[in-house]
Amino acid sequence: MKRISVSLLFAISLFAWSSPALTGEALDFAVIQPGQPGTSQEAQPVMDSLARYVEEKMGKGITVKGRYFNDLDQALDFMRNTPPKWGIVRLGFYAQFSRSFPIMALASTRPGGSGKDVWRLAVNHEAPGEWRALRGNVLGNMLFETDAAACILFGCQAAQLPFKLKGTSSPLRSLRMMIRGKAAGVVLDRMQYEALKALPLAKKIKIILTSGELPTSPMVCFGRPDERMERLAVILKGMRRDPDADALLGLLQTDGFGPPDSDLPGFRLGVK
Amino acid sequence: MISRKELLEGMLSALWRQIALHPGIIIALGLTLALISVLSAVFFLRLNSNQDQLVSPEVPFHKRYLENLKNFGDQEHLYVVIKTGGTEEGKKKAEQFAESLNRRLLRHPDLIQAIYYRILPRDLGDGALLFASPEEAKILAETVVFLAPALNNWIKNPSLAGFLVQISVLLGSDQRGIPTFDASLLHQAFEALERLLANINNVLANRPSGSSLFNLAEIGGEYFFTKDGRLLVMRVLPKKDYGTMDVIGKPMEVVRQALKTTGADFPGIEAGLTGRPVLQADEMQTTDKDMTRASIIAVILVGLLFTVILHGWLRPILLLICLGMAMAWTFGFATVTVGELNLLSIVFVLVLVGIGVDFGVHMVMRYVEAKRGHVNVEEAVLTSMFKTGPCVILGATTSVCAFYSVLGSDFTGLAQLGLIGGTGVLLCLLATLTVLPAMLLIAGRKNLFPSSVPRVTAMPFLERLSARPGWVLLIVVALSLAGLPGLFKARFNYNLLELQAKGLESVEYEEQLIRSSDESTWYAILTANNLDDVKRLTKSLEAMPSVSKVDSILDFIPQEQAQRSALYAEAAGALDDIPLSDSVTTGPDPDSLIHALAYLGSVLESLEEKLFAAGAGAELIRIDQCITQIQSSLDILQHDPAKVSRLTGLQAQLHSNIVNTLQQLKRWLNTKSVTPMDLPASIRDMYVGKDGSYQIKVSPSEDVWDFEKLEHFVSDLRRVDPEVSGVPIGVLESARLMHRTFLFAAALTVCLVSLILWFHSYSLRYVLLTLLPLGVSMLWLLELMGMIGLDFNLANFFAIPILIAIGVDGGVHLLARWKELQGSSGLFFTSTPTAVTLSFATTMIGFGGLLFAHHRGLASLGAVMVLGSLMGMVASLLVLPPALKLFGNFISKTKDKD
Repeated sequence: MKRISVSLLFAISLFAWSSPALTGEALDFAVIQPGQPGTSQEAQPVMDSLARYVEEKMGKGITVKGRYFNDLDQALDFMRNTPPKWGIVRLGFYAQFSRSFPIMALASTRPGGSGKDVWRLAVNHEAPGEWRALRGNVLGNMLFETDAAACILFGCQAAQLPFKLKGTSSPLRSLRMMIRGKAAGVVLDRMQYEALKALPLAKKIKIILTSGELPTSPMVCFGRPDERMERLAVILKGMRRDPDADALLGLLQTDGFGPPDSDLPGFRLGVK
Repeated sequence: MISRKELLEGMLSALWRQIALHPGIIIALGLTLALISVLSAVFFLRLNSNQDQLVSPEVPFHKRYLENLKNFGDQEHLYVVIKTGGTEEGKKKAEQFAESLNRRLLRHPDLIQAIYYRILPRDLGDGALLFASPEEAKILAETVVFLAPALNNWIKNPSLAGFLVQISVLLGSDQRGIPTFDASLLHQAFEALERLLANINNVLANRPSGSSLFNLAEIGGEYFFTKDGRLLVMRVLPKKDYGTMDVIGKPMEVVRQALKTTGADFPGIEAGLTGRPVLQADEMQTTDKDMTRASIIAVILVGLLFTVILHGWLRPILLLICLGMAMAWTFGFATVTVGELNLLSIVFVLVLVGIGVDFGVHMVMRYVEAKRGHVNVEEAVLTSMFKTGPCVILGATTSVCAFYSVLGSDFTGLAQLGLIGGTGVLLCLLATLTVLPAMLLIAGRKNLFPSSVPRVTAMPFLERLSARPGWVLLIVVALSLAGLPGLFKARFNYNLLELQAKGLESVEYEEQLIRSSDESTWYAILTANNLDDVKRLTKSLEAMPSVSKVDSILDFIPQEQAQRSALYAEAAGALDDIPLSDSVTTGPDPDSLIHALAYLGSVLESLEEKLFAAGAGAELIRIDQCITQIQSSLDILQHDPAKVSRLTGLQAQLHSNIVNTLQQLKRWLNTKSVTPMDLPASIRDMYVGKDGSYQIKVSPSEDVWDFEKLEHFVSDLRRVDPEVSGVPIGVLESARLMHRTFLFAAALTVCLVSLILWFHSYSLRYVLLTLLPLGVSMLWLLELMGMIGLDFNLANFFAIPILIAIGVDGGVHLLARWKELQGSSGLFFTSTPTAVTLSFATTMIGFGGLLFAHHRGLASLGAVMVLGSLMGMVASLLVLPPALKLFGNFISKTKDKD
């Protein structure tokens, strides 16, 4: 019930306005999750809670403001104009833009209590079992960073694929479209795949490609990490043991922060 | 002056004259008396299975218990234990199981008084909201204030479509200002939405729909899960029938049947029944089955033994007729004197089979021996009466002592057993001295016995053995000394649960309850005169490690009521302007409803995506079902908009449910305070007595079936209140009382028997020699029990008085025969050792069947009786004859005195 309350709180916590624009001078942050459902406004109370928590723990008059982006273009605009000090970014974002922005992972997240993610390509159970035989659109909320996603899941460039990768904010609706023949496939992350197993829909699909274990969304520092960033990483990693952070972690849908994933640098586009 | 011997012979002579002259009349008289006794027992003898009446009501601990029972009523529950597996899904299923079982049990108001398995807001009365924590109360008040305008708008135009739009707005993303919702309230609200959407779809599709859509008084209920959440416990209060053996047999059967039927509807859910009354009833059923089986085995084996030893079937039949007659008379005696049989005195039948039959065995064996001497029938019966009669009388007298020694006990049940059992032994003696000789006489005169006379089994080996008395006794002493370590290992086990049959459902679930929870089917009771005392006592009790849970009226009296009441007053004001009397006048509009359903569908789809991203599979299913219902309703409405008229009733019902809910909410919000007297009777009666005092129920933290832990628990409670009562105290004190009574009875029996033997002989050496087999056999029994790990317990301790009685009996008969032989050898060539062996053998066989009993208490009683009888037999045959040879020459010197 905790999860539904978290999600419903997301849904009904729509009241507070977004905070003033961040300056980047303080320890401001951005959470960048392209394709996640909901709106930035809905998520803002959670960002504010995280900001308050970090402010309290850092002390010494440090101010923190946070922004949430589930739209890639808006996130890129924000990064270019008012880059924050740190953030939590999706794996695809890290992989595709780590050369555009100086990004360094300081910690890892543990969504749903797991330190690793797995992507799966789901197709209609009557579709061909070989992904190279697919034609049309393959959808997924991690596919906004198309090049990175193609490289991570298929090991090639997006342009070399016989189908088109398209980002979506509604993967569940996309699955239903796929069942009706309106999409070639849907890429699911671990959480989505777990949720799907509970639905009757699961009987109508099959998985034809599974990635290896992937790093989860890292907590990163934009620019060179200084002493404050190091301290921040320690604070975030200590949240699992802090009873005051229980509710906040629930809202962030992670059971805490861990050390940075050692596999992560290998996912930077052009490196792997 | 007439000597004792002359008096006895005179009595026997007078008896014999009547038997010889009118054997038929004596048998007829016996039969008539037996018939009258049986008939009076059938019509007037009552069975009282009320365990509360086994102990005297004057004993302080029991007096307090009975006073509490009278003041607070019978609260001894049956416990239905439902396993959840510790998961949320398992708990949900267990709740559904409990609801279904509850519905089934409610169909039997004649057998089930009450069922407690959850607490609903309505159970708490009008003060339900005062139980909220300060944070909850704040959120609740803010939510009411926030929702009031929307509700006000809706209730002025209470359409179904309008309600769905309001819900969509709440769940959607274009509103702000909603206070933080309590997740559990949201959960309940979502359930209501599911019901509403299902009802809309069912009504549109012309399918039957559910009744209430939304009832505030029934949401937010708390089920009675154990602390670890692994079990859901339902307490069922049965109606008791003390006229039956198992008291709650019928209610228990109904609950078990309901469990079975409900179990079929919920495959995978395990549930069972336990609790003290269930354990007792199961115990009664198990012991009943075990006793029946043991009795059948005993009758067959004893019959076979008698047939072999007594040659043919007639003599055993005569013995059994004699025994049957004595039992019938005993039933008559019990009817006239006590008027009822309790759970202990009912075993007198078994006791009489074990002891009463022995008198007849000695008589018949002597008759057979006499007949071998080619004397006529009259002379054989006469010899049997005069030679065996005095010993049978002496043996019976000593046995009666064992029973009558408990007459003054506070253990009423045991005292009644002593009276009925002891008198039964006397009646067996009477039958043996009157009816049996009369039957032997008639059967002998009519030549009904087989023409061949049975051979009296001699025991030459034992005769040879007793020729070296010194060596034999030396070996006996050495063996006894070697077994001494075992003596110190013999112990008393008070654990009543360990007496029960293994694998019994009630035992397994009781153990589950003990292992995995803070629940206990046993709880102690403290009483307090006012709420301050309840608070004080509760505080002291909660600080004790031996206490797991304290239940009292305080659980139902909210704390800091004024603070919450102030918060709610403002919220109640927000509801004041909402009109609650108007009814819906127009039917639903199809276009508005289609629009509202589509809007709600899109909101739920958006929510679904969020849950999908969060991996919330279980919640996703619920939303998915709602969307399916919406889609189905939309299909129907878009295909045939006229069908919307079917929803008119549902719209009115929704309005009515909301109005009722708001009225309930206003009542709750306007309640200023709650006192015990404001609580519903169902709660108040559990904790407030008829005299206005308060009951505090204290559950132990440890397994109090373990006697040491029980002692520790009770001793802790007595430090807080020496007057503490309840089942744990009753069990502890009853066990101690029983232990004391048995020990006292055993000691008194030995003293009385010694005194009787002294008056019989005026010789200390005679007394010691008669008691020698008993003493040695008891020593060996204790040594053996220690060695094989067989403990004394509250079931088998009862064997001791019986073993004392039959142990003395063997010594009396062997000594009398030795005396008759005037100290010369040849004891083992007479019928007496065989009769003694047969007596012990019948006891061993009689109780031997219990060795295979499922009830471990009965099995241990069988084991102690078999071992004790065997030791008694060996001691009588091995130890007494050599001892007589060494120390028994006094008999020839004292014979003239007699």
